[in-house]
Amino acid sequence: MDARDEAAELLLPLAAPASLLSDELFEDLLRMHQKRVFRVLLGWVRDPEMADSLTQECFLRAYRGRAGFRGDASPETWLIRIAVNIGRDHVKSRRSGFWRRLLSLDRSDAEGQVAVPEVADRASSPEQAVLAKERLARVERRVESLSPMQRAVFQLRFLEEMPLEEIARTLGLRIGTVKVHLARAVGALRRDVA
Amino acid sequence: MSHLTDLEVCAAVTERSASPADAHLAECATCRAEVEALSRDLGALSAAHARRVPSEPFWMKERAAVRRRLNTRPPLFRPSFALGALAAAAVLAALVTPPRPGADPAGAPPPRVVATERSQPPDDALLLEAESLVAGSPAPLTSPL
Repeated sequence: MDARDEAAELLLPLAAPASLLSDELFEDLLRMHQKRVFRVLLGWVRDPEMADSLTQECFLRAYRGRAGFRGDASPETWLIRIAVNIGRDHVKSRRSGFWRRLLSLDRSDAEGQVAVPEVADRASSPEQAVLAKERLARVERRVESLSPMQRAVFQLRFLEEMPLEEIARTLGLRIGTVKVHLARAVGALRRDVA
Repeated sequence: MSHLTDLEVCAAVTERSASPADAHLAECATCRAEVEALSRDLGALSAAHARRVPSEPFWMKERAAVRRRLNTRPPLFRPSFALGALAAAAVLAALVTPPRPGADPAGAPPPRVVATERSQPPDDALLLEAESLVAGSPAPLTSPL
């Protein structure tokens, strides 16, 4: 049994009606999915501190709204859907600039650009490392400029490596729509970055 | 020769198995270079994303923070509010409780008890007996002592 099967088996009791989503099961949900929820939110904000805060918010919302969970989707799909909504809302509010200026939350972003991690491997020269870092920054900026739905689909596919069917379930879209959003996002990168 | 569409390029970079664009990519150096560059960019993006994910102690702290926030009661149920609500309920209960039978609803003092012979103190009874002896008429046997 691989890790995915094991996780799926563990999820079975959680796919029960809301009344069975007890505090103990919720604790399991938190332990099993906090990393993925965090990664999804990190894709939206690219600031670990903010992603942490939003991950907590995601689980609080899930806990308060657990009566609305009927087991139609897996708990993971349900949680990621909440996370995507939170990430999208956060980006919208950040674009307006209000929260950013008011709370100075984006500390790693001195000039409107989030810090880019080192990308070069040990074999590359300093020049190549600088070029790779600049290129990554361009790609990240382009991803940020995608429409919210294109960005959601793109991040779930390329950062979370989710299959298209799972993306469709998570975002409540048809698979054809997911493919179109993804093609547009990749097309935008293709034109602007390549 | 026409180059690949966005949909075909997308399929080429996302599908690990054979893609319909493979035949074209084998012949077209431009599209091949484009797909390779995109694949590198997406790989770098994914790797950078993975590098930002924290290590294990972080997750324990985060779980504790979620638990702490879940255990924080909403303002309506804070102890101070609960005490206030209890006091208000007590006042309300006192106001709406019906008066006990026999109690004067106007709050007047209860009527004074009229003294009866039976309720006379023993000294008075003894005095009456003494007076009757002095007067020559014996006190009745049934009179209270």
